[in-house]
Amino acid sequence: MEGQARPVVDARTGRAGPPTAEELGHGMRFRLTPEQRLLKKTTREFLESEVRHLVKEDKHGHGVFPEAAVKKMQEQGIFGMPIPRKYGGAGMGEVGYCLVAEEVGAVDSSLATILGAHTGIGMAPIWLFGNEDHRERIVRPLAEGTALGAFALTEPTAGSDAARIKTRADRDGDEWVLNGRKIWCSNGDRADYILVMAVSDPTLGAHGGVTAFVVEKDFPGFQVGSIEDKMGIRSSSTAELVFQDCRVPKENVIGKVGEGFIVALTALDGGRASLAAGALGACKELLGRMIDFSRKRRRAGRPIADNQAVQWKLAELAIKIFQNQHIVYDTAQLVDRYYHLIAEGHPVPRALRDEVSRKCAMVKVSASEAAGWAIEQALELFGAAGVRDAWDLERGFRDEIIIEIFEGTNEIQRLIISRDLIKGGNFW
Amino acid sequence: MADDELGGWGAFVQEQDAMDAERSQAASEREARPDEWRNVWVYAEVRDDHVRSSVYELIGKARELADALGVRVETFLAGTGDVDRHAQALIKAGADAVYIAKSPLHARQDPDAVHASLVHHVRRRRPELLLFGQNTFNDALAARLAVTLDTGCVTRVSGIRLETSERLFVFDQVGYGGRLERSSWIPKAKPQVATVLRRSFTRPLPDPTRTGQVIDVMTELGHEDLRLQVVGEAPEPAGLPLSQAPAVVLCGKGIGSKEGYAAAGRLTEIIHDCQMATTRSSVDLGFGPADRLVGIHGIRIAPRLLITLGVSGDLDTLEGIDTDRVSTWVAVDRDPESPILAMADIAVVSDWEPFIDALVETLKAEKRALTF
Amino acid sequence: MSPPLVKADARRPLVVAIINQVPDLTYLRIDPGTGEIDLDEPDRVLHPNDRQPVESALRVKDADDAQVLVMAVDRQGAEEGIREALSMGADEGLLLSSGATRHSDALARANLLAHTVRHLPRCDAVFVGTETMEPDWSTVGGAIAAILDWNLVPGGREVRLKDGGTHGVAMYGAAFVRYKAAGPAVVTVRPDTHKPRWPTTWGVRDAYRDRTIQALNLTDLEIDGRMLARMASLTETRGQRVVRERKKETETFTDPPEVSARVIGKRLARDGYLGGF
Repeated sequence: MEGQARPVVDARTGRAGPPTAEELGHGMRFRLTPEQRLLKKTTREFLESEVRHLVKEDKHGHGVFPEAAVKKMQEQGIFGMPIPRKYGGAGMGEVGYCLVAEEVGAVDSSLATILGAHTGIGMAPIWLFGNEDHRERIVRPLAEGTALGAFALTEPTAGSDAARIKTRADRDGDEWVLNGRKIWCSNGDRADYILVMAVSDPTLGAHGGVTAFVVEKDFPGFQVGSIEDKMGIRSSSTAELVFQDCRVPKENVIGKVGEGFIVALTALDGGRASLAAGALGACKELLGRMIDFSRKRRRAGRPIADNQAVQWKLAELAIKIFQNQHIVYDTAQLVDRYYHLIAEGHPVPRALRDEVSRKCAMVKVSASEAAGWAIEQALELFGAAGVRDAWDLERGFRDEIIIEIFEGTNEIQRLIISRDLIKGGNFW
Repeated sequence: MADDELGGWGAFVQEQDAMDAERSQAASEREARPDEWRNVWVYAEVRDDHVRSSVYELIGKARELADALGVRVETFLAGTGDVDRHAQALIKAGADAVYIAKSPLHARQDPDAVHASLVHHVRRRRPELLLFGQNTFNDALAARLAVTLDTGCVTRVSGIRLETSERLFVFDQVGYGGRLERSSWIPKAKPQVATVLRRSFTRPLPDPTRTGQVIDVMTELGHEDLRLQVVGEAPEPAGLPLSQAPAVVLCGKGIGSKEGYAAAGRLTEIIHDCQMATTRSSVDLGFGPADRLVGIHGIRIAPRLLITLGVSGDLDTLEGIDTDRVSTWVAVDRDPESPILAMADIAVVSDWEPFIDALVETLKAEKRALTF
Repeated sequence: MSPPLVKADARRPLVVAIINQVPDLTYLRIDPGTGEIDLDEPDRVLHPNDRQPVESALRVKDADDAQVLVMAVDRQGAEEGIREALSMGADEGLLLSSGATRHSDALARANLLAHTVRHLPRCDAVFVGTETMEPDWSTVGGAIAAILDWNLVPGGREVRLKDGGTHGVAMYGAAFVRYKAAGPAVVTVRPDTHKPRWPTTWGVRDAYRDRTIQALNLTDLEIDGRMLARMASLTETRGQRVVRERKKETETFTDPPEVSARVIGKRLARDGYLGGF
């Protein structure tokens, strides 16, 4: 328009407005790409309009598996995020997976658990350590969303001390015969493919004596035992798996015989980063609700947002979100590099492996505890309204606790971090 | 390439230069001699055998503009059969002349037939301003007409001002769901074509003493003018879900009974695109159906018109109302201390039943009056 | 002989979805002094109403094996809107960049779009939405039809291709009819026509990594100064302002219900809540 000053255009970028740090030459590229922004926006809009209203919980029965929601999310491509495009996934790496996990975590922790058990620990290791046949035959349907995955490690006598698992695998010609029991297997009763850790050579320890197998749901000798009745994440099913002379063809061994423990630990490391993303999503959702509520709720004629005690809560949560957002996505990028090396069969430097373990442990602790803190603050803010089931806060309260426990309790995570410190010194 | 390094700005400068040189020439070629274009036209759209109510609003505004310019208000009506009977109502509302283009091809609002008729008569009679009511159909029609007549077109107009010295109409426009407004004008071309949002102007009271001309105009339409061939009727698209309903009657616990809920439903028969909804406590008491539940437990609504009956306004319910989108909120509650009354635009302290009875009667009478 | 504008296969039907690039409202910046909107905001997105023409085109793709080309006039340099349409399943994007059209009105841009459509190897139908944030955007469909002298299908839905023509449902005033017509058509698509499909995650990835967006400038389109002058804006516009929220005052009626009902009823009727008549 005439008479209106033309915006200042940077000669280098051809764009109006001040240059970014990147353009100035001292940026750290801490920004989502346009592709990632579109992914995040689309996922959020999709979940808000198609999935959120399906989230219901059965408080009294054994929990209802949200089949309709999961199916919609599978068709949307949410269950194949880190898997390369050529094996049916979205090919958007751990960062893409964390972006999606964050949005799912904002809607429902049960859904985030189903997604996490499938993607991070069920499917990703099969892709990472599997051969071409595994990737085509097993990973493809999992990534395309026509099959569901799970991961089974914990046993009644081996939890945080996973190296003490007892489930046996004995070679019998072209097959392996599995015997034993696994517990607390998320998606266990729903999964088509389950990644199972079993002792293939009891004379060797965890390193060398454990092998990873894919058990398919219709294998003879495999049975789903009892389903846990839980306090939180009630819509995610947690199953006991029973193997009684369960025959697994040798083609279903993932990685080398005897190297199953590496498969398991790698899976758990990456899984923790996405778990933290889910917790971060929950924090953001809670902050939104708390702001909204404190603006609307009036006491003595004024919104409660006018109170400093309320303002501090909001500020504190915003700080936690800011911190976690940065460490979660920084770590996700690290996991991407780590996974790339493994998937391409390159040697992985020990230092990188340690860094991944350490950082994934740190983000898991940080984000899960932020979510736990946030839900307590939200309940305090909402008062009586929060206790009622209508606002979903009491469900959130029951849900958030598990994030501090599963995939290695936060205590175990702290041990991982401090052992690394004591062994390797100050890594900062 | 230099252009790429400059982000296309090199090309921009060249284009600008070329444009400035050519623009004045082309503009003078196109520029109409303004004194040839006179009078304000309103397109009298017929829908279901009635002239649309928005047409009368346009006539009211056109009258005001025409009086300021000392010109005539003329309406153009395309139809078939006894469409002449609408002419007097248009005149009484303020038109000086009604052109009636009768043709069997105008039995429907055929986009090609209407376009052909309008192009023919606008070229011949040269109005300076041509107003349409805004809707998807008329927007496309107006734009097509403007291009054919080599003029500009402005849509979603909410106000028209006159720059008398330049004989120029300045249109206020609304965009982004009502969040943005701007002003546009068409400085160098005639006629100025605009589509106007409903309810932008007041509908004038009919003046029974007014007289005017009714002019039957020739239509030389043939079937060859029709590009689209009608092969059958199509059903109306399915009704909107409650979450998108433009008008909602929300009944709370105060509605008292299942029968009360049904009685309040009479409003939905009169108010356009109106749906019933209910609150948690009313569902729990069995007054309203659970699939119409609004609030934190149920559906979130964002109507333009909201009528709440016996709703007290607790946070659970308010969570389900996008109050920013409500432009008229009528709250009826018997308790003058009820918090919802302070939030509404119109608060009625009364039992809902006698109020609704009287409101239904008033609205019925108004609706009859609207159809003339 | 100029190179082809698009990669499209001339043997398969081609439909075009035209979208408008609008600023992302989430980051809308307002000049606090004037209340005017900073329209040089870099982030531009696909307006929800513009998902409709894309969805309509994709349904033709599903039914008639057509190729879908998404087209936009670039006003800022951002391509996010086209990428989003590609992520829904469109095959190719075309960005008409021309500094000269930066501040052009909708009809001028319709001219540029129509000119481009004419230069495509083939085109069987053009789908365009109605209003976006830009009020005049709803004129683009009608204008392109007039410029190309093609069939205009107002408020079209279920439009399909057949024997070089189109058929489907069109708006005739306020009524809907089934129509058929020979030759290509410009279809305007209302905001409530379909439930547009969601971009899948792999759709998003492919849109950014596998699909191409061609950027064409005036030279590519063989537009010279004279032609450009004919495309000049006919409307002028003054600043976009944010409509300020009015502070709402509650009006309380404590009269007998019959009295208040009469006043309120008349007001509701005046405000148009009783419908078109």
